[in-house]
Amino acid sequence: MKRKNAKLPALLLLFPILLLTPGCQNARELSHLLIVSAVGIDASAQGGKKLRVTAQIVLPAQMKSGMQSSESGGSDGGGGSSKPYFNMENDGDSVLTALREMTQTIDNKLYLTHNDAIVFGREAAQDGIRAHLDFFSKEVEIRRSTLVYVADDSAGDILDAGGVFDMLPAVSLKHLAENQTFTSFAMPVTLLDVSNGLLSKTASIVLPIVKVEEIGGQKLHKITGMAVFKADKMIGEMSEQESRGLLFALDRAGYGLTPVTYKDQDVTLEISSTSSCLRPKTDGQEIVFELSVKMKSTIMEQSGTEPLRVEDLDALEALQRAAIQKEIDLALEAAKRLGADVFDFGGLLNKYCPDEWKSMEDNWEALFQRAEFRVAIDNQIYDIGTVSKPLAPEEMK
Amino acid sequence: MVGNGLYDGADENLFQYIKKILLYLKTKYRRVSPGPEQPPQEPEKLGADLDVTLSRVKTIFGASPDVFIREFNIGRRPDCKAALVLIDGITNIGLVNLNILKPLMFDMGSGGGKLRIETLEDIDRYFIPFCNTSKAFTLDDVTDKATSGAAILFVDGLSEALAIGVRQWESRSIEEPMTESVIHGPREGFTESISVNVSMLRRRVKNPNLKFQPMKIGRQTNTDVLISYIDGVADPAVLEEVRRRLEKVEIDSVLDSGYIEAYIQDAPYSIFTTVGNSERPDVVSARLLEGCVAVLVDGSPFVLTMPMLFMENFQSPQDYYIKFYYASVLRLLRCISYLVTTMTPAVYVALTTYHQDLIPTTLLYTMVAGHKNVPFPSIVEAFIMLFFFDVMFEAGLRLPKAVGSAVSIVGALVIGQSAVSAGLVSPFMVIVVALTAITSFVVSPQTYSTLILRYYFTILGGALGGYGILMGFMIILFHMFSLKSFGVPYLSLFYSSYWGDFEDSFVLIPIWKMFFRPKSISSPNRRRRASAPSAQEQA
Repeated sequence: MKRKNAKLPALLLLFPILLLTPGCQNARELSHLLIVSAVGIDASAQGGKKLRVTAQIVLPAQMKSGMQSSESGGSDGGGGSSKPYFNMENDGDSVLTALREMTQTIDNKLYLTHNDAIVFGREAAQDGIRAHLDFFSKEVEIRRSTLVYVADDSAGDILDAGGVFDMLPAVSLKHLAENQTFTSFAMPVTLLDVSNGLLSKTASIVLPIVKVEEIGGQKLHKITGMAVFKADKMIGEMSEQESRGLLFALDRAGYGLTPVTYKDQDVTLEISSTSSCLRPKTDGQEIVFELSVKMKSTIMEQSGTEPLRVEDLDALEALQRAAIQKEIDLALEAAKRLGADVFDFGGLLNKYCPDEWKSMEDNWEALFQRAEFRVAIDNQIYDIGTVSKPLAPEEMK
Repeated sequence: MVGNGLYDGADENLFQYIKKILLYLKTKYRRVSPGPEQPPQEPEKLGADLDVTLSRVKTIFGASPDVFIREFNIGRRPDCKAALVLIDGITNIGLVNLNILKPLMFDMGSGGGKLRIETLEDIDRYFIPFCNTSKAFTLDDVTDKATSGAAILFVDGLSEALAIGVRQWESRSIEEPMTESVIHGPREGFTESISVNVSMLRRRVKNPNLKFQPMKIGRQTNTDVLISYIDGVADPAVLEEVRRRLEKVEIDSVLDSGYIEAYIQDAPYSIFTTVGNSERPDVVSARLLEGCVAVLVDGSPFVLTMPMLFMENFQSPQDYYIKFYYASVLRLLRCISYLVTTMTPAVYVALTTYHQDLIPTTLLYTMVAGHKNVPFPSIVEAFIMLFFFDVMFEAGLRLPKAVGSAVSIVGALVIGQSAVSAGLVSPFMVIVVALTAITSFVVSPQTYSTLILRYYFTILGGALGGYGILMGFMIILFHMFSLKSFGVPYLSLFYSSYWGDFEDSFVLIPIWKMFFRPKSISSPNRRRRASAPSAQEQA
């Protein structure tokens, strides 16, 4: 009995220890966090290394003081030495080695969960992105909603621009991606989209291209069209018009403007809602994709003085149809020129015509050039703005 | 050494060992039996000799100056000795002088007729103008009645005494209850006097079916305890259970109803109380009318009600007196506040230590900036602030009102300003604790479980993160589901397969729609009104 009494406290002590041992080892205190908001990957490394990786580390204390100074009105534009981020650069043979070996220089391991953007330098994108993205898809901290971009030139430059409105370049990139819905010239692409594209045999990835534009002494981001990939290598670009055609086909378009010339005046129509449906039709020889686009528009601008009538609206609708049709055709043309199936025609055939697809699959590269669109656009002008007549006196008729 | 101790032999595995330890604990801490039962002592009967009786009374009461023993002769006759025993301060002396002593000493026998005293019955019937009289045959009886405010009349030659109820004592006047103040509703609260409390219930429920069963509990204090219920509404099984538990109470003293509460709990070791209490007559009346049983304890303004459901913590008497929309919103608010006050520090600690990915990015930047200069991990920070808060709360209760404001100033400065600027805690922790503090007052202050739960969850959140909080929540939930209060599941009104039970739960339906008493507090007579729809219609 005496011996058991000695064992009892030992056992009771074990329980709280049991509770603490598995938990606290993964604890990470707030003050030790090095939050990464964007990662840039460039091919231009020194010293025989393959990659230069840039990690944008947020400096929260600077950020807070920046906020306070802008609140008090005495803002200096956030430029100069008080940038709320630090772009840590390191060369390495892979993304992970470059990132992890940063700990030789900086305080702690990087915290990647709040990473908003992955930017590939043009050269790195042309060399292939598959190997670089492998780490991002394996690491548990990375969100699949992280946005992926291709830089017009070097990714490092992109991560050092755009801090005018948002303080952080990464946040600016995120907002720009969201803004694309107003013009439909490009679409945001997430890590998940890219992963799916890389898994597909036939589909091509498209990524928005971002470049640095200097306006009023400030470096800003600008999105200029989309980069087209074949397998994992960037092979070309699509212009803004071509991209919009692509977005219509993929049902990713949001709003957008279609300026048309009608009766010697410029009329700008704004698309206020659009939806589309793409279905393949094939008999083994002819490959036709039926694209039906439904959209509603508003007349938002008119340069002439003559009020528009109902008959005019029909004519305007026809002009808009033609403009949209042209954009879609341009997109297909560009895709054929690049030989990249950006519409994922292969996936659609596999889904809706599986029997025919089996025979086409091996020869898809050549067959893709024969693919045609049959576009049906159902557009309607449902609003002419808050004033029905132009700002001109009636007598002028 | 520990390793040696854990394994006694090759055939004994750890599981068997733990089982053995549990068995050992079970036998070791079993309650010690009080030894052989002592035969109950025969109560000492009153003798016919007045002098003997009085000397016994004197030895029992000792030299207490408040015990008056007045010897006198009835009807101015030398052969007719009598004595009056009473205790000053709890009896109305003026009444005794004028209406007991005067008629007995002067008026009796003054008519000239022959005075014959053979039984107390005659005196009682003809000369004692009091409505509350009773006879005592034993000394215990005499002392019991004297201590509860009766004047005891002894007459020489008679082996019985007459107890005349003349009790009157100073008590607090009826005031607004401190614990459950409302904006809209009756303002009076129970007092320490049990008879006043009974009268307050009687005034609210003018119905002969409102019954009170007297008991005396406490070997030293002989405290009056009343079981109150409405005949035909209260569940007889619950009533029987209450009576059985009260009879089993073996206690020295009862200074507050809390003593009784502790003794008749369903789960005495649980942090949740399964006996309700209220300081408000309107609440207790409402409970009685729902089919509950109430226990009134002399000297305590808190009346116990049972069975008690967990939902009662979130019910305020005001809910029933105001518009039901508003009352429903307040109910939900209280339920949410309970979760907030118990969980917020834990969630904050878990988020900042393990789950930074769940914090919105922009907020995370600010939090990191705020935490930059704090030397402690979040859990320590949380404990510092919770300790501050609890200390201030307790200090505010104890300090006299004049000093109380000083505490709040110091507290506001220490917690709100200095702790942050001194780099002891981050500003977010201050918000968390402020939120915790404010919400803790939204729930009934009688809900003592919040304090313990708060620390419990904080430790788990700090040690195991979100998993810990979830596991801790499950443990508490399982425990609460296993609780019963006098046969009624503790969490009824939180879950039910019966819609009617939700009408007074998270939300409140209008009072004119409440046709039935709660099903969970089963009552033989569930219908509140004659016009109530039939049971099928209700279901």
